[in-house]
Order: sequence, then structure tokens, then C-alpha cells
Amino acid sequence: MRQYQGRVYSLAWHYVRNQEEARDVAQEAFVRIYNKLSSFKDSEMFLPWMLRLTRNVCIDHLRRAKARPPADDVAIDAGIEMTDTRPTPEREAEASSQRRLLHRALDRISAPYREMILLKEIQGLPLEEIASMLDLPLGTVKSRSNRARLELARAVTVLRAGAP
Amino acid sequence: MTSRSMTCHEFERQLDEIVGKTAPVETLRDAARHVATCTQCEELAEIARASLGGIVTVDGVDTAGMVNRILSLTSGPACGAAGERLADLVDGALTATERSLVIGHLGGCEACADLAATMSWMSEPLASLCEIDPGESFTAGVMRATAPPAIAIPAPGRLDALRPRFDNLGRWWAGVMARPRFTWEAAYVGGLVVWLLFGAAFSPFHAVPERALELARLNPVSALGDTVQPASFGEQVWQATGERMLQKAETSTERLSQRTRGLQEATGSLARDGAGMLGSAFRGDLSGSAVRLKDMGADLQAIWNELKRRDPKKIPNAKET
Repeated sequence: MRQYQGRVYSLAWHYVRNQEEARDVAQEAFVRIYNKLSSFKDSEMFLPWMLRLTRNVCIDHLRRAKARPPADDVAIDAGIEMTDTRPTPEREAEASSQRRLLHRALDRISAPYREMILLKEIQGLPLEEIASMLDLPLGTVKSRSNRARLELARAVTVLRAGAP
Repeated sequence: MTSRSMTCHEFERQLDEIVGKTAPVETLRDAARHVATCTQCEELAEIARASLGGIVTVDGVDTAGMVNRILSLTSGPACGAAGERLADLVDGALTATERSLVIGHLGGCEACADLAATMSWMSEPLASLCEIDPGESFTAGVMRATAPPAIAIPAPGRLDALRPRFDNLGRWWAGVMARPRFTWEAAYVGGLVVWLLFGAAFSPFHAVPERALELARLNPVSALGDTVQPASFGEQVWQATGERMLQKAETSTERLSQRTRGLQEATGSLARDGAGMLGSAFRGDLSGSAVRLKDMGADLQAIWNELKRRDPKKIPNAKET
């Protein structure tokens, strides 16, 4: 569990964008994973299977929370401790700045593109897995992934230029 | 369409040399004059230049506006087409031709070049977002949620605390049972309880024994008189089976008496003493009741000895008990 908890929590956090809710969702995801371990087939890859379950839990949570008002914009990276440790404080500060920039950019792109970035670029899932997970044709996933990266790059460029 | 020095056919035949600027200077000059007057060949030249990887100006002709016009009429804006391929360019997934086309576009388009650089840069920071530490208590929370429900078992400390009390109670009871006067004491306490229940004037059950005695003395049939006649069917059943049942009961009693002849005397004495004790209690004769209770204790002792004599294995020694 310790091996995967960072990934599960990261996926949950990127979906719900709230630390406490992400913890609850990640714990619920692990409970569901634990309960459904018997249905896991050896022919499948464990990580995509686990991330698929986690995504389902996140979506269930978002559906339940749909009636609630959207959470205020939280300070990106505030209180989030990344497992990526850098050797020097300068590099750590730089990495933190980069992550903050990316999080802000992720907030600016549409939800389908953000999900594609999350699954493909952040979690590193292969396109075939994403296509299966999202129930989309492979070609659609590929083109959407490319457009998502382009949109994110545009958002990053705009943020770097200091535009609001 | 023709120009003064070059026809459309000649332009098309020498297109690669013209666009690549490998044709003689005179030919290039004629071509420039030709495209200035021939829209069709002008578009053809722009497409050829784009496919060769870059926007090349024909000598003497400003083609900056032409590119956008041509692409808007054919494959759309160049930035749109290049943008769709930027991700594949960064991933190295383009064919050689596509790669040269996109790189050619990037050479002349600063915005797309910035996008490509950003896209190339953000791969590593994005991958670093893969894991986030949820905190130390996260694992414990999951373990609590997935652990099987705990069975409610009393804390061992509680049982340990009660054990000496049970042991003391057991020792006290064993000591009481081992006393020689236990029979007498038990009978005395029992008699006192019976007197308090039925003999004492303040007891709510004070009149119960007298009423019970009166009822026992009544002959139910005569008491009922002529008002209630036994059912004819019941009477017939009694006549048919009652005599036989009485005979069997007498026979069984006789056999039981023979088997328990030793106990019979003691049990009869116990019954008599018990009745006497109750009678004394009802009359308020406490001393008489106490004497009868003492006799009952002796009767119980005799019954005990008789049982022990008959089967000493099953009846343990009173002191041992």
C-alpha cells in the first residue's frame, strides 16, 4: 500500500483539488481496492487497474459533491508535500515554483483536457489504457492528449508572460 | 496565363529550382515577374516553399501575406496544423517529412516555437506530480478501515480483578458445606423463611395456608353438589379406565416402596416433621417449629447417609464437598 499511496492520493487530489477530501477519497479508493482484489485478473496490469478504481471513486465523490457549491480556489501547492526530494534548497524552490505554475495552468484548461494530462502525462498511463478507462477510441484519445498538451503549454506560456 | 518572359508551364516545370533558388539568376527574375502577375503560380510557389521547410521569399516579391492567404484556402492556418503536431514532435513520433515541415514552421513562427519549448520543458515537472505524500496517518486510516471487525472481548484485566472474589466465594461456600451443623443451620434458616412468609402476622401470605387446608378438606364433588353433573362421556371414560389406572398406580407404588424401603422411613419422617413444623409455624409456636426443624435436619442427614450407603461413588463425602 505504501508503494502506491502517493499515486492514489495524487490522482485523488488532482480530481477533487482539496486535501482533506482527497485523503478521504484516497482512503475510500484503497478500501475499494482491498475489497475488489479478488476480482483483479493476473493478466491485467495492477497500476492501471488501481488507478481506474481510484478514478471511479473520485468521480463518485464529485457526483455526490455536485450539489454542494464548488470549493474556493485553494492555494496551489499549499500544504502539499511532494515525494520528489531535491538535493538543494535552490532546486527544491525551483521545482516547487514549477509545480505551482503547472497547477495554475492546469486550472485554466478544460476538464477533459485536464483529465487527459492527469492520466497521460502525470500518471504515465499508456494511451490504450486511457482509451479503455474513458471508453473512447484510441485515435480520439491520442488527438485529445495532443490538444491537451498544447492547451497546457499555451496556459503555461500565458502565465509566464504574466497575463492574468 | 503568360507573362512577358515566362509561361505558367515553364514556371511549373522549373518550380523546384525556383523555390530552392538553384535556378539561374535570370530564371529567378523571370519567375518573380511571373508570380507577380499570376495568382495560380504564386499559390503553387508558396505551397512548394512550405513543403521544403520554410517560407522563402522570391526575389523582389513580398510573400508574407500570401502564405496565410494560401493556407487559409487550403490546409488552414499554419500554426493550427503545426500545433496539432507539436506533441508528436516533442515525443519524436513524427515521420521525417512531417518533422521537417513542422520544424520549418517553427523556424518562422516564434509563438509556435515558444509552445514547443514549453511543451518540451513541462514533461519532467508534470511527471514529478505523479506522487503526493498523503501524510503519516493515511496508512493507519486505511488499515483501520480494512481491518476485520474486532470481537468484543473483555479486557483481561477485568476478569483478573474478579477472579479472586470468585475464589473467595467458592472457598467460603466449601467451608460452609463442610461444617457438621450445616444441615441444622440450613433447616433453621428454611424454617425461618417459611414462618416469615406464612406464619408471621404481618405477612401478606398469612392466610394462604389455612385457605389451602380448607380447600384440601373439601370434597369437590359434594361441594359442587347437584349444580354440576359430570359429563356422561367423562364418567364412562372413568368407569372404563379409572379402576385399571388405580390398580397400576398402587402396584407401581408398592414396587417403589420395596426398592426404596430404606429411604421410606426417613422420607416419611421428614414429611411428618415438615408438616409438624408448618403446623407449629401456623399456630405461632416458634419453639415447636424449631424442634420440628431440627428433626427435619436429622431426617435429611439420615436420607443422605442412606443414599451414600447405596452408591458411595455417586454420593461424595459431605466434608469433601
